[in-house]
Order: sequence, then structure tokens, then C-alpha cells
Amino acid sequence: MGINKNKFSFCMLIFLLFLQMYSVLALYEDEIGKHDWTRPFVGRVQHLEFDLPAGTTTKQRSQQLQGGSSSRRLFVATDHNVLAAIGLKSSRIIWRHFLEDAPVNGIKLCDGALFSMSNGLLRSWSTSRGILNYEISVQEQLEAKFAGSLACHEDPDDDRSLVFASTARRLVAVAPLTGALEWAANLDAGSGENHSEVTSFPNPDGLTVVTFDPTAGKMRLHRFGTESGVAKRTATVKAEWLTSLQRCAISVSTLACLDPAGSIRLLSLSSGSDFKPLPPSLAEQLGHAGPWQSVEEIGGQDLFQLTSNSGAVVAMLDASLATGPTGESLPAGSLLRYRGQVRFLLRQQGDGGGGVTLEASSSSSLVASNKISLSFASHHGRVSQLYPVTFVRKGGSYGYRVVMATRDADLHAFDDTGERQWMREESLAGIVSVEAVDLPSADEDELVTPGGSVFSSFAQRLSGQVHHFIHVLQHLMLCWGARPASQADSLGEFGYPDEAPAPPASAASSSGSGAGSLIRDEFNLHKLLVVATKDGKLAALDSATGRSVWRLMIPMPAAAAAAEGTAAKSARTEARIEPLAGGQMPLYIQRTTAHFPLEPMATVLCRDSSTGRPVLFSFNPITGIGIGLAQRLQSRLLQALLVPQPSHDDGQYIRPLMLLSDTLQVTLYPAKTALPHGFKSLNLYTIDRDNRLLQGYRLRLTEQQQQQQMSAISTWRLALHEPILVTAARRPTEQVHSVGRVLGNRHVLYKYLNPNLLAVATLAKDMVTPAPQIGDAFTQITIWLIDTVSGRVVASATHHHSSGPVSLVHSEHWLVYSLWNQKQRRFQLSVWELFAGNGLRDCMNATQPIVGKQSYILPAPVQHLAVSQTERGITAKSVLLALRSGGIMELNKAFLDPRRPFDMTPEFQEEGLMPYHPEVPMSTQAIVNYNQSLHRVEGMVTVPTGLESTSLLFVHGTDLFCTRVQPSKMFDVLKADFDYAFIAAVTIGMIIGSFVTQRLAARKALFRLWS
Amino acid sequence: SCEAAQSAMRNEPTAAAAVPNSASLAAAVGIRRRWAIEFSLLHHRSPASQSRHYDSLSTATAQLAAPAGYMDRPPPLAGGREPDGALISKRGWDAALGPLKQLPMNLFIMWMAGNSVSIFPIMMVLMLFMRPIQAVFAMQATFAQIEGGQACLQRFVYLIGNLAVLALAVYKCHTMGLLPTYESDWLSFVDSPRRTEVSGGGFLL
Repeated sequence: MGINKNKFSFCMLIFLLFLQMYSVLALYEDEIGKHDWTRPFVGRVQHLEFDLPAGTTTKQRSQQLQGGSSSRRLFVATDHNVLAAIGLKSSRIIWRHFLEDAPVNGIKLCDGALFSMSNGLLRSWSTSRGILNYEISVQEQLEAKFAGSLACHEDPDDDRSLVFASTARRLVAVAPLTGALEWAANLDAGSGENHSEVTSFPNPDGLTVVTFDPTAGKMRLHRFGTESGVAKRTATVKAEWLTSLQRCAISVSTLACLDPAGSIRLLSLSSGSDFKPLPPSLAEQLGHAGPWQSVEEIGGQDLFQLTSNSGAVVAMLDASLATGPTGESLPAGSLLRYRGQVRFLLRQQGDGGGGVTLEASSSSSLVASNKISLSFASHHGRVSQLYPVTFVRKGGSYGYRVVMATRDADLHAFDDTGERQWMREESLAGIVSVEAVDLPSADEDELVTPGGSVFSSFAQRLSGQVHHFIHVLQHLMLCWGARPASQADSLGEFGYPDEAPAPPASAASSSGSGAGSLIRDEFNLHKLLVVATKDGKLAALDSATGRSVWRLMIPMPAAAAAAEGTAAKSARTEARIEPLAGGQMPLYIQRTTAHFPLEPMATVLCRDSSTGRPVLFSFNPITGIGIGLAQRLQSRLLQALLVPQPSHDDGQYIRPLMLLSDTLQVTLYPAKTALPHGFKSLNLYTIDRDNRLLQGYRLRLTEQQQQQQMSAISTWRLALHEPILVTAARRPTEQVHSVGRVLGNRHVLYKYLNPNLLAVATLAKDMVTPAPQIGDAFTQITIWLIDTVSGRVVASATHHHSSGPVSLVHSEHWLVYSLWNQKQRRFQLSVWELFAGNGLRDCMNATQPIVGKQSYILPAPVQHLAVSQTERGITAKSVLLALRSGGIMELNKAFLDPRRPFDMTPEFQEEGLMPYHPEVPMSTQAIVNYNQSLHRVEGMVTVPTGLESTSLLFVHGTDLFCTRVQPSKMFDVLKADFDYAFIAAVTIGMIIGSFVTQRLAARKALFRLWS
Repeated sequence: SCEAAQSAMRNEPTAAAAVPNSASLAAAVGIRRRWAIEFSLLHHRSPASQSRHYDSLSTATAQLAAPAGYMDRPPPLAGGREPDGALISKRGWDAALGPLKQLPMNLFIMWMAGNSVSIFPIMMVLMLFMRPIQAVFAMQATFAQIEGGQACLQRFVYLIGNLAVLALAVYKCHTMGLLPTYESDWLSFVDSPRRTEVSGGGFLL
């Protein structure tokens, strides 16, 4: 019995030990995801392959049985050069790889493995885990830009399959399973090799490869068998009229290309030596005259889909039988095949805005058998690509799935009843600009206008509170009414809201009720992040959860549609909202939420692609409802400036947006606003990347016929003569708490606080350092600090044998930047601090500041720099480094201090300086995103919160991440484990004790008197 | 006779209260003498002989010697009533120079305390401040005790002495860095300059 008991306790001990063996992912495991969230994305889908159990070969099926992965998935390659597997049911990313910075030429599923071709490298990936099986360099020499193509030859009868990968110069045939090179052949691509394009298509007995040299206008055809690399046929075809192979489509025996006029020319791959125009008889049969806009290959048997402005058509185009009426005119659609046989034809109806209708025809009769409508919210724009796939159900019947990419890059999946299964907000992988908006506050401190009399303020406050109360009541009523509706469109899972399609009116109300639940928290830590994506979409993310609160497509300006009428209608497929030059799409918060009865207002500046004219669109950043219509400006803009203060005169509190046109006319947006008083001058500067030129302008007000005219005069011009890499300016809202630094001897070093400084990094050839024995000559990076009011260069410095990537950050009186040291082959972090020579002066007649500089070795490559921002600027600053390894490192600014001494003296010690050490310390605890790696970081935004110690950090790129950053720890908040009960008990006990002892003492004194 | 002396002390509590420390003892000299203790009889007795004496005490009470401080004749009241002028001035100088005499001691203590701002040096500095300030507040009472021809000078010297101690305390504060004498101490009151010229822009749109 005793032995048994011992055994039992021993087993128990072992069990308990195992219980302790959880993997620890962070310092405090319970804090994962508490104050931060991550949303991984892949980007806009460019290539998509389905991995379904419906394999075409028996081999593939057995492979899948061996792998044991019955979960259906789809593989995508995107514009972020990401290769990923996404669960077809769960919509989650199963695995994801970031390939090098070169476009993915194609992906193919062949013989149970996934193949990708990019940068001249053929890679094989395991489908289940995404492990790299092997990698083959198609070409010995790797060049900067590669065209490439990928084809898979699978013979259902023969067990032998081959993967063909080709660049413009070389073709390799590889056995898919082993990666063994079967044969290779050289392709003669012509002289302009670097720009040559290549495309290939498998035919029953091998492969056809077409290379095109746009400089010579020559096309070469190669037909290969599967056995050897000896070409069965080679032909050179002249095609000077062709601009790019992207205007061509290749099929089994025909190459169809579009000439500049939009008509189709065909080339027979088996026998043809020249392009032939489409026979008139066939053209008549097509039903549409063209001009055609695009040609696509579908279905694999010389079936092409032709798209024109008036519609799309599917036709069988066979160049070898060009005289015969072989064109089978079908409505446009997608043919779904299963084991080589057509099972479905999906036809798209409608223009795709807000939803499409698909007619599915079964293979027996190509007459529509059922109709499904795929509907989605209007903010997605139109359908850009449909990826249907068919499969066999358990019962033996055929079914299909449709994965759809919309204009905004979002990815939707529908089943064959038209029900949406999931949606991935891939548009958020293309965020261009971010602005944080405070949520409406529940307390009325900001209701009163400053500067009024006591009574007017009191009256204002009372009316404001009544307004607020009525608003709350209305909101409650609305919530009560909208509750069943809001339950209907409940969220599926985190981050992927399965929103129900709704007409605009109810969408507005539901978004209104959604926004109503967003109320500012006690410390203003909860904000809305309003983002604009490069596809012209606006969205608001909840900073606490990462959920999209509302989404909105920037509408096309209404005036344009009316004015251009039919032209706009015909070019509707082309016209879209796009970012301005250099991918800029600035957002301006013109009225904050602080002026309660007035709704907040934000404005986005973009342009429409058809005219290239700038477009302004205002919206309410809390609810996502547009204010007015989008406005198209008549003239091009040089620059825009949001005036930092609202004008108090009109009671609108709108900060005007100054727009500087290319004719140097200045207009305000909205037009009825007035410029606030109290500024000596309003200045604008422009950076011309192409001409390497910086120009400054000043606003000039002139009176003409009792009307104030606004124009700008050019005040300065600075030609840098070197390519401009990056620039950085201080954030206009930045608060500086202390104007100086206290030294060890208690004197003060005053900061050079010029809010109008601009830091510019330029690249030039290094003339000083001798060139290395191998490789290119060195380059040098020059950093300029320019006063943007006067155009004066305040300071500059050159780093020899250095190159980019450079990232700059400028805050308060300092500047931090990172660059690559070519000679030492390492990344460096440099810091400048500027101190005023004597006292503070106006920037126009200031003396040159004293600039302290120091450089440090950064042991990891860095992509992006940012700095933490707090409300009053009291908290120490942290520099945030987005490392290429995926971490975001928080580095205290004290480590980057040009006054760090080599020889430590007590005075420096008194000041709190650390002795200089060339390497920046990197600790894993400083990585604020612990194990949630963030790739391709495009930008980092820091936002001050109501807590002085805390600032919000939002990182965007391929992944989104938001967390709180506390550079000086949480000095203004009690710790979570603060013992309130104990403190309260002690305090109350002390109070009671003092009362009791007072009583006792009085009694004792009385007794003493009596005695 | 011992008890008698004690009872004599008990009967004169005011005089005992007026002699709290050595400093004010000198000041108390000027007061009319009420009683006196004669210690001379005890001085030449060794402890051994004393025990013998107690032995004999039990047997022969009549032969007892007078107890300590006992005198047959009454205390010389007349001599106290008319104090010596030189003595008054001496006592006056003692009172006046008291604070100055403490100065070296205070200097030493402050040197020992060090310049770190921690609880003990702070307490010491506070004590250093308290004493002269208290003395200045109690100056009327002290000045009342100083009499004689040089009273004015003595009062002045007394004041100077207290001020010197105060100065020492202030200097100590200075060396500890507690005085806002540098511009760094006023830095947080300096407002950051208001932005009058606005500038903004960026890459060409």
C-alpha cells in the first residue's frame, strides 16, 4: 500500500513537472496581447493557386494522403513579394514567406509541391508547412531585374512531370520531386537582355517559350519537347508595334497580342512566322468590334477572353486555322475544369460595383443553370479578379468556390450558394498615411470657448451640456432600435469582420452605432487610427483591438462625372483614386473632436488617375461618413499646409488647409474659412526629387477691390545637386517641456529649438575614399539641416564611404539617422544635438547653433526610425527602430547622446551621462513586439495619450501592430499590484486611532486635574 | 543633613528651574542667592571612613557631623544682592559669545555630515537653522539677562553670533545644492518660445 502511494505521488510529481513546462513566449506571458495587437497580411494577390484534394493526377492525391493534410488551402503570391498559404475555410495564414525584393513571376502547383519563380530562382516549397525543398538558379549570373516564367508539364498518362522555369536567357527543366536538373537550354533573347520578357505555356508534348526584346521589337519562339533541351522549332518574328508581352496571351497553339490600336493579331506557335490580323468573319462572330483592352488566356485550349469597353467575350482563336470560322463566341466567364473536362462556366454580370452575379452553367449544357449573386459592401470597389475552382463533393457531385479580389485589394471567398465565407482586409497592407483621432470625450471641459466673459462661458457650457445630454439620449434610442441589426452583422473572428452587405443608409446607421460605443477612456489611451491606403480607401482602426470600425472608398468627384459625361462613363474602368506623386496621400485632421456640437472633420488629398488632378475629400473621422462630396481641383498643387491653429472668429474651429497651386496661387480649403491671427508669416517649402531642388514660399496677402487676395512669393531656392534620399521634419504638434539641458556643474546648455528645421539626406559619389579593389566605388551620404523659413543651411555633415538605406528622425533639438558604412560593412546610427550659442533668438537672426555629433555601431540592419511622443514632452524620449529581423526595438535616447564622454569625470557622472561605447546595446527585452515579427515596415506612427508616460505606437507595412510605449516606465500610474485595501485600512486605522487617543488623553488630563 | 539639603532644594523649585544648562547658569548668577550648599565637609572623607562613620552613626547619634551642604550660619544673602560688576560683565560676555563658540563645533559637524542630500544631513541642517532662529525669537528674554555697561556690545555680539550660525546653515545648503542660485534651477520656469513663423511642406505633390 505504502509503495503504491509512493508511486502515485511520484507520478503526480512528474505530471506536475510536465505542467510547468509551458513554453514561455515573453517576459510576462499574461501580458501577451493585452496592450498590443498584430494583424498579419500578405498584400494584393497577384498569383493564386488552389490546393484542393481534387488533384489531376493520382500521384498528387497519394502525396496528399501521405501528407495527411486534408485542409484545403490556397497559395498566393502578392505585390509585397510574399508567398503564403491561406486556409480556404479559416482564412488564416498557414505559412508565409517574404521573398527578396523582386516581383514573383509566377507560382505553380506541380506534382504535389508548390513552385515559385522570382529573381531568376526556381524554388520548391512543401505545401503543408511551407518548407523550402530546394532552390535552383536558372541562370548562373544573377542580375538586378529578371523576367521569368514558370510552367508545369503534367501528363496524366505518364508519371513523368516536369517543371519548366525560364528567364529571358535560359530554360531549365527540373524533376519536381527531386529537383534534379533534367536538361537546360539557352534562349537567345536579343540585345536588350535586361528588359527582355519571357512567357511560356505547356503543350501536350512539351513547352513553348516566347521571349520578346522590346528595344529591337523582335520576338523569338522556341518549342521544346520533354526529353531534351534541343529546340524542336525556333522562329524569329518581328513585332515592332508591340510594347510589352503583358499585352499578349499565350495558349497551346496560339499567341494573341493586342496592337496599339486595340485590334487582335494572332501568331500560330506551331507553324506561323508572322502575326496575322483576326479574320473579318471571326471578328463579326465575336459580336463586339473592339477596340479591345485586354486579352487573357482561359481554359487552356486556345480559349481567350477579350475585354473591351462595351463588354467581354470568350472566343476560341486558332491562328493556324485562321480562315475557318472556329471562333466560338461565348459570354465572358471562367471555365472550371475538373480532370480536363469543363464542369462549369461562370459568367460575370454587372459591372461589379457592390456585387456581381455569377451564372454557373454545367458542362452538359452551357446554358445558365443557376445564378448566384456575390454581394459585398460598396467600399470594396469593383471586382478586379475572380479565382474560381471546382471540386468533387463527397456525394460525387461537383461544386465550386470563388475567391474574389476586389479593387481595394481585399480578398473574399464565396461558396457556390453565393454566401461569403470570409474576407481578408488585404487593403490594410497598403497603408500610405495614418492620423490618430481622439474619441469624443464624455467630459465637457472643452465645451467653452476661451476668451469669453464669465456669463457667456457659463451659458455656453450649459447649452453644451444640454446638447450633449440630448445626444446621449438619441444615441441610446438609436442603440435600442439598431440592436437586432447589429447582432446580425456580428464579427466572425478577430480582425476579419464578416460584415453583412447593407444599403448605404443602414450602413451609415450601423457604423454610427458602432462609433457610439467608442467613447474616450479615462487616460485617452483608446483612439481611432484613420488610415488611407494606396488603393484609395479610407478606414478607421480601433487602437485597442485593431478592428476596422468603418471603411470607405474615396468617391470619384461628382462634378467630373457630370462634366465629362460619356467620356467618364466609358473610361470608368480606368478612372480611380490614386495617391499623389511619390505615393503621397496626406490626411489632415481639420477639426478635432474637442468641439462637441460640431462634428470632427478630416480631409484626404489624393488625385484621380484619369485626369491627374488633385482631389479633396472630407469626412467625419469618427463615423466615416463623408462631409459633402469629393472636390476636384482645377490646377495642380505644389504643396499643401494645414495651418496649426483654427481661426476663432467664425466659431467653426476648422483649421484651414492652405493649397499652393503651380501658378503660386494660394487657396484655402474649405473656402469659407479664415486664416487665424497671430502668425508672423506662413511659409511653405517644396522638395523636388527630380531636379534636386528645394524651394521656399511665403504667403502674401494683398488687398484688391476690398477683397483679400492670397498668393505666394518664392523666398528661397536651394539646389543640392545630389539625389535626395529622405527628409525629416519635426512634428508640428510636438511639445517641448524643457528648453535646456542641465550640466553637471548646474549650468544650462540651451537647446536650439527651431521648429522649422528640415533634415535632408543626399547621396553622392565619394571622391575622397579610394575605391575598393573589388566592386563599385564608394558613395557618400550628406545630411543637411535647413531652416525652411529662410532657406539657410544650419548645419551639414558628410559621411564618406556610406550608402543607404538612410532613415532620419528629427525631434526637439536632435537628429538621429542610420546608414550603411560601406568600408566597415556595418550599419551605423548617428546623432546630432543642436545647442543655442547664447540664449534664444528668433530663427531669422539666430547665430549658428553648436552641433554635437556622435556615431554608434548598430549590430542589426534597420528599416525605419521613429521617436516616441508624449503629451507634454516631460517623459524621456525613446528612439524606435524597426529592425529588418522583424523586431521593433525601443532605445532610450540617453544611449544616443553626443555628449557621452570618453573619459568619465564626476561632473559627467553628476549629469547622468554614460561613458561612450561604440556599440548600441541590443537587449531582447527592448523588443516591444516580442515574438510577433513585423515584416516590410513602411512606417511607424507614435501618438501621445492622456498619460504623460505613455505613447501609442502604430506600425504599418505588410503587418499591422499597435502597442503602448513607456520610455520612462509608468511613473504616473500606480502599479497593478498596488495594495489599495491595505493602504486604506492603515489610513482609516490611523484616523480612528488618533480620535481614540485624543479622547483618552483628554480623560487622563481631566483625571489628573481632579487628583 | 543630606535630607535637609534635599528638602531645601525642593522648597526652592524656581531656582532649580532657572538653572537648566550651563549657558543660563551664568545668567542666573545675577539673581539674588537664596541658599547655598557647603560641600567642603564631604570632601576630605574617604568612602572607607564614611562606612565607618555610618557604623558609628548607629551607636552615637549625638556625635554626628553636619551633613553635606549644611551650614550653621545662614547663607550670605547680602553678598548676592550686590553682584560684582566684573562678574556681571563676564557673565554677559559668556552669554554673548555662546553662539560664536558653537560655531567651530557646528562647522565640524557639518563637515562630517557631507554634501549628499539624504535624511541625516538634512536633519542636521534643519537643526542648524532652528537653533539661531529660536535664539533670535527668544532674544528679548536673553537680552533682559544681559546687564552692565557693555550690554549693547554684548547684545550685538550675540546677534552676530546667531547670524553667523545662520550663515553657516545657508552656506551648508548652498554646498548641498539646495539653494536655487544657478540658472538651471529656474529652467522649468522658462517657457519654450512661441512659434510665430509657421512652415511646412514636403515633396512635390
